[in-house]
Amino acid sequence: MKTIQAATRALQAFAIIAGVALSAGTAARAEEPPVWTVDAGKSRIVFIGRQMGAASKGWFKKFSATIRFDPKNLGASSAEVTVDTASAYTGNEDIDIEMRKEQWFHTAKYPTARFVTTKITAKGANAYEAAGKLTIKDVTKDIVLPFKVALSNGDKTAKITGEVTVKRLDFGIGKGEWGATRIVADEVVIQIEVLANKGG
Amino acid sequence: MPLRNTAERYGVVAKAFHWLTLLLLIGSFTIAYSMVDMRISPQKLVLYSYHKWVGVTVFLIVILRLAWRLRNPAPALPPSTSKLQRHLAALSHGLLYTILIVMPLTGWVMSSARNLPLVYLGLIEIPSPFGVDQALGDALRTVHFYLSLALLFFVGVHVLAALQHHFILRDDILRRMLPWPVRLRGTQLQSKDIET
Repeated sequence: MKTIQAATRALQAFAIIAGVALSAGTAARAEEPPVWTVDAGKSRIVFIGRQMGAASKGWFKKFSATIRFDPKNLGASSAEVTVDTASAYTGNEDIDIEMRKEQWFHTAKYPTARFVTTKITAKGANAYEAAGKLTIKDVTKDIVLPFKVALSNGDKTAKITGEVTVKRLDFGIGKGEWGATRIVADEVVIQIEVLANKGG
Repeated sequence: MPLRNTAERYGVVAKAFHWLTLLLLIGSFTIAYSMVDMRISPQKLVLYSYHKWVGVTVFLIVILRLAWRLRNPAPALPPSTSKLQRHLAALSHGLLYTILIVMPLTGWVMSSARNLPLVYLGLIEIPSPFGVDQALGDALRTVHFYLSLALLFFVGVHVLAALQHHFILRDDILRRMLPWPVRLRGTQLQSKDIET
């Protein structure tokens, strides 16, 4: 009899613990930041280089991004952006062809560039900083991308804008004769303008 | 040599504008012909920028030159010049000035259409009038090229006319623009320069 009672109690205790653990697990899942789907037609990843002092702007026509973002749960928020390097476009055919070559993006060997956030922190009203790893041509560098988020449409649409300056030669972009930074500046400004909708 | 034009000859300022324009055009054409068929390279970008800088300079000089000319009429043509010749001279000079103004403008718009804007002398950012537009860039490239041929043609006419005046008509048209001090051979030679 005593054995049965003890066994029952043990089972009850197990059930409670399991229940607590289960509900806790559900709660954690509920808190996971929502997925945001990028509206490619209204989003742009722009790059601005300088030649002989003059700024030339271009953008990547193709990229994809996985964004999980919740301003109240930045710890679990993240973004991963994959850019099709061959889609780099400036509107100048000579430059566009040149950029795909080995000395530049070497798109045949490195078709994509990636940015993966490691930590997102708040920096004031609607302002954030995404620390992450930028990989171009197999070179990975830590960068910090300050960005802003403007929510609209009942917090279901987010416009994400940000800008960061990187050095192209850090990634071996524009090597050889193009390494002359007096002619083509080392610094390249990357601007993101992403429109994303909540939901997968 | 007087600074300002006189009734017989050009002053130092007008002469400086004239010969400086020639030097810049020689530079501009030399750069243009060496850069245009180059494969894209840093050297090509440098030459393009130099060409554009020279073009902007020519443009500025032409503007200054016309302003100067407004207040300093050109010396008179020889009395023997026919009405037709006067008209042809005015027309060809007008065309030269027009091309010298329009060519840099087409180059400027082409630069912005081809996404290669310029910072003049590496110092002054020249705004881009229009967005990037491949079709516009290609069209302007053609226009710029034909304007360059027209410019060469009219400069040729200009030179031949000057030589004709000098060697055949034996008047002072060429002499009065020569960059160094010269004695005019016309009948009014000895008369005093008239300040305008």
